[in-house]
Amino acid sequence: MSGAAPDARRAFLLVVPALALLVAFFVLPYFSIIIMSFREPATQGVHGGGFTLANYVSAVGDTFILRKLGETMLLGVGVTVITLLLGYPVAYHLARMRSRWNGLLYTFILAPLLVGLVVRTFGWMIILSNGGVANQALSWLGIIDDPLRLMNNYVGVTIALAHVLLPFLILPLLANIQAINPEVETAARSLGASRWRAFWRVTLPLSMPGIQAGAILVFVLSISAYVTPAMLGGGSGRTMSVLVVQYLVENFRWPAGAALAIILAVAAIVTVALFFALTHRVTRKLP
Amino acid sequence: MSELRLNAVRKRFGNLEVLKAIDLTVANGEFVSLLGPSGCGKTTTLRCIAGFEFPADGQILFDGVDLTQTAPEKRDIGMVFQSYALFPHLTVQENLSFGLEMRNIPEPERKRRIADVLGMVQLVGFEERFPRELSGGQQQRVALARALVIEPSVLLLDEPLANLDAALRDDMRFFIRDLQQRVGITAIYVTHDQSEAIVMSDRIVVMFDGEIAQVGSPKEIHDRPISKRVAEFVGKSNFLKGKVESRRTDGAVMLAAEIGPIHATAPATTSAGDTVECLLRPESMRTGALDGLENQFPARVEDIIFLGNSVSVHLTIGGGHRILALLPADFLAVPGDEVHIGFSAANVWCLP
Amino acid sequence: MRRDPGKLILNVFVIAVYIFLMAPIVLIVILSLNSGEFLLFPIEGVSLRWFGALWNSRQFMDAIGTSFQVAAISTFVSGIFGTLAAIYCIRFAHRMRGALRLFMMAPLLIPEILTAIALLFFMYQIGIGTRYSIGLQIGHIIVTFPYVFLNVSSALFNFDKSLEEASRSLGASPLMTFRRVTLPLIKPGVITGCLFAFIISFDIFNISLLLKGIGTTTLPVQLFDYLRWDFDPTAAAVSSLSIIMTLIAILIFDRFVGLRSLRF
Ligand SMILES: Nc1ncnc2c1ncn2[C@@H]1O[C@H](COP(=O)(O)OP(=O)(O)OP(=O)(O)O)[C@@H](O)[C@H]1O
Ligand SMILES: [Mg+2]
Repeated sequence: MSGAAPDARRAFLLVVPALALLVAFFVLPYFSIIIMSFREPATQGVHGGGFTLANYVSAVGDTFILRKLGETMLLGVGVTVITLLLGYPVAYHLARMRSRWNGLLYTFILAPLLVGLVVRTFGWMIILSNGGVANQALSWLGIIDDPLRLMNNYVGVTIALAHVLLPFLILPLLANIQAINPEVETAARSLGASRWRAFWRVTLPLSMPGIQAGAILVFVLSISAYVTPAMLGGGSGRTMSVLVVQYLVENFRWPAGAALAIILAVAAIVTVALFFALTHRVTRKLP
Repeated sequence: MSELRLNAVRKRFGNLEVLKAIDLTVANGEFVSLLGPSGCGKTTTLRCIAGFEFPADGQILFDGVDLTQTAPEKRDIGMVFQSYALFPHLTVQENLSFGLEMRNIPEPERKRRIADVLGMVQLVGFEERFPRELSGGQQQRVALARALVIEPSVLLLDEPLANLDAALRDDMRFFIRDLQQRVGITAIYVTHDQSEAIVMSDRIVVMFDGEIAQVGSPKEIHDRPISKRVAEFVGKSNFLKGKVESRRTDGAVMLAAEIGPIHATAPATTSAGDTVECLLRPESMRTGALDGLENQFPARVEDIIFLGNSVSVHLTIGGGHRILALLPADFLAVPGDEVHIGFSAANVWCLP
Repeated sequence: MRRDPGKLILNVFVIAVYIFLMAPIVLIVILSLNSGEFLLFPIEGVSLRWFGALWNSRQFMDAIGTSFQVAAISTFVSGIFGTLAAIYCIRFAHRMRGALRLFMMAPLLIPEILTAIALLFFMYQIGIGTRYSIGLQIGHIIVTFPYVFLNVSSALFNFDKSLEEASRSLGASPLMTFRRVTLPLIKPGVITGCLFAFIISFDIFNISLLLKGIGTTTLPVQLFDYLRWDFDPTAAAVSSLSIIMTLIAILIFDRFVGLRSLRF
C-alpha cells in the first residue's frame, strides 16, 4: 500500500555487513572465552579434552587471587573517587565559562585522550621513577631526603590511571552540566540559597546522570586496564588484568586465564549494578 | 496550474484516526487555507497531498489524475516548510537551482528562471550567500522562491510564517498573497492563526479533530460560522441566547433574547419557536451615530482596555448581561458611564 | 571590584588539574629534545639526536609502518560499515533501534582486554591463530567501528528531516536526495568518525599485544617492549613523534570541522 515498506526491507542490507562482522568476530568469540574457562588444563596443546569446573574452583580457593581481585576492585574505587574529585570542578568550570579560552581548555581535556596510552604511562614513568621529576622536585624543595618509592606499587598505578582516565569522567559530565540551565542556580540564589547551597541542592543533583556515566566508565576502564599497571605496577602492583595476561602469554594456562577474566568481568558487573542501585534513589527523581 | 481534489481521504497513525474522510476540492489558482487548532490534522493533510504520507483510504487527484500512491518527487508540487529546510551546504543560487537540475533544465534557462524568481522575492544580489548568512525573513523568501522556481502545479505551505516576528509576519502575509496572485498558482496554506487565514485566503477550511467543520470564504467563516466552536476559533465572540418569535423569508428573524427583543439573521433551518444561540462579534458594535441600526440598547461601561488602534470595552446591557465590544480608539468614556450601543440585524447570526 | 574567594579557589584548583593533565605529555616532548644520554632533568642541551636514533631504528620504523597500515585498513572498513549501519539505525530501524544501537556500541562499552582475549581464543579455535595478523586487523576494526557509528548516528540524528523532504518535493529521487543532500550534510560526522577510528587504532594496545603475528608489532606494543629493557630518550623521541602527529591531526580537524563535534 504505502511506498515505504519495500524500501525499508531493502534498507536492511545497509546494516548487514556490520551485523555479520560483529556476530562473527565479537559475539562468537565471547562464547569461546566462556567455553575455554570450562576446559581442562593441559600441558600439550591449549586445553585438554574434557570440561571441568576446576578452573573456577581453584581460582576462588586461591587466597593470592582473591587478594588480587580485592586490590583491583579497591584500585578501581580509588581511581574513580580521585577522578571525580579532580574532574567535577573542571567540568563545572568549563561548562559555565564563557570566554575565548574555552576551545583551548577543551583541547587540553581531549588531547591526552588521543595521545596513546603507552605514551602517557611512559610520561608517568619519567615523573615517578626513583630519580624522576617528582623526586627531584621534592628533594630540591627540601621536603624529602631519600627518594620516595612512587613506582612499582599501587601509588604509581593509581596516579597514572587517574590521569589516563580523567577525560572519560570530565567529558560526559561536561555535556551534562552544559545541558543544565544556569538560571536554575540563579533562581535558587534568588530564593535565598547561598552559592554553595544552591550548588549542593540544585546543580549537583541535576548533574547526577553525568556523574553516574563518568564514574562507571572510569571504574570499568580502571579495573580492566592492562598497560598502566603492567608498566608502573611492578611486582606488587599487579592487577587482575596483568595476572590474566601473564597466565595467557607467559604461563600458557589458557583455561585458568579465561576463568580469571570471567571472574573479573562478573565482579565488575556486580559492582556497577551495586553502584546503580545506590545512586538510583538520587537519579530517579530527575527528568 | 491545476485543480486538486481529495476524495474521502483517511489516515491513521496506529490506533489514532488522524484524518476522517476528508473531502476537498481546490480550484485552479485558488488560495485555500487549512485552519484549525494544534493536532487537528492540518499538517497530515498537507503531507498526504505532498506524498510524504500515504492515506489508508481515499484518493488524491491532480487535475483528475489519481496520484494517491505516487512518490513526492513525481507530483509536481512546490513546498514551503515551517523550518524553511534550506539546504545549508548550498548557496541561494544552488538552492534554487536544485529543483531545476532534477528536471534536467539546461543551464541558460535555469539562470534565467532563477533571476526572474529572485526578482519577484526581491533578493537580487543574494545569489552567493549561504542560508545562515540571511535573516529569517530573507530565508523565508528564499524558501518561497525555491518552491516557485520549478513552476509547480500546486504550492503547499505549512505554517511558513510561524518563525517570524510579528511585524515581519504581517508584511509577509501580503507578500505571499500578492505573489500567489501574480503567479496565479493553486496554493494550500496551513495555519492555526485565524487572522492570517482571513487576510490571505480565497477560501478557508476549518478543521477539528481530523474532520472538516466548515468550508467557506473568510467572510462566511467569520460572520456565518456553522457552530459555536467555529465561531470561537475564528475570532472573539459574544453569544446571546433567545427564542425565535417570527421569521421572514429572507432570513431576518425577530428574537426574544435575554437582553430584550432583537433583530437577527438566521439560516434556513431555523424556524419560529426555536431556541437559538446567536453570535455577535465585538467589532460589529457601534456607539455614537446609531441611525439605521435595528438594535439599540443602553449600556453601562464596566472597563476599558486600550489596544492602540481600538479599545476593548466590557459593557453590561439588558439588566446584567456582560458583553464585549471593540470600538474605535476615540471612544471617550470612563467606567460607570452610561452609553448607547447599536448593531445591525445582519451582524447577529443565529447558530444553526 | 570585590574579589570572590570561592571563585579564586576554584580557578587555582582547575589550573592545577589542567597542569596535571598536560604535564606528562609536555615532559616527554621536552626530554625528547635532550642532547644527553638520560631521561632526566635538567636537560643538557637541545638536539634532535634521538630523533636521528629513531630514524635509524629498524624496529621502531617497522612498527610505525605496521601501525599506519593497520590503522588505514581499520579506518576504511569501519568508515564504510559504520556509516551504512548508522544510516540504517537512524533512518529505517524503528522498534529495534535502541537494541541495535546498543549492540553496535558494545565493543566500546566492553573492556578491550576481554575482547582481545575472546578474539585470541576464537582465532585459535577456527584454526587461524595469530597467523597473518588477521585477528589483529579484525580486532582493530571491531574496536574502531563504534566510533564511526556513533559520530555518523549523531550527525544523522541532529539532521533536520525536512531537508530530505524538501529535496523530494523539488523532484529528487530518494537516491539522489541521499547523494545531494544527506551525504554532504553528514560528511563532518563521517570525517570525525574516521579520524577517531584512525587515532584509536593507532593507540590500541591489548588486541595488538595478544593477537600480533610474527613481524607485525604495532607502535604501542613496540614501545612497551622497548621500555622493559631500555629507558632512554629514543622512547621519548618516538612518543613525542606520536604526540605531535596527534596534535597536528587535532589542529587540522579543529580548523575544518570543530572539536566540539567529536562524540565518544
Ligand atoms: N508520524 C506520526 N506518528 C504518529 N502520530 C502522528 C504522526 N504525525 C502526526 N501524528 C498525530 O496526528 C495528529 C495530527 O497531527 P498534525 O501534525 O497533522 O497536526 P497539525 O494540525 O498540523 O497540528 P499543529 O498545528 O500542532 O502543527 C496529532 O495528534 C499527532 O500527534
Ligand atoms: Mg502542523
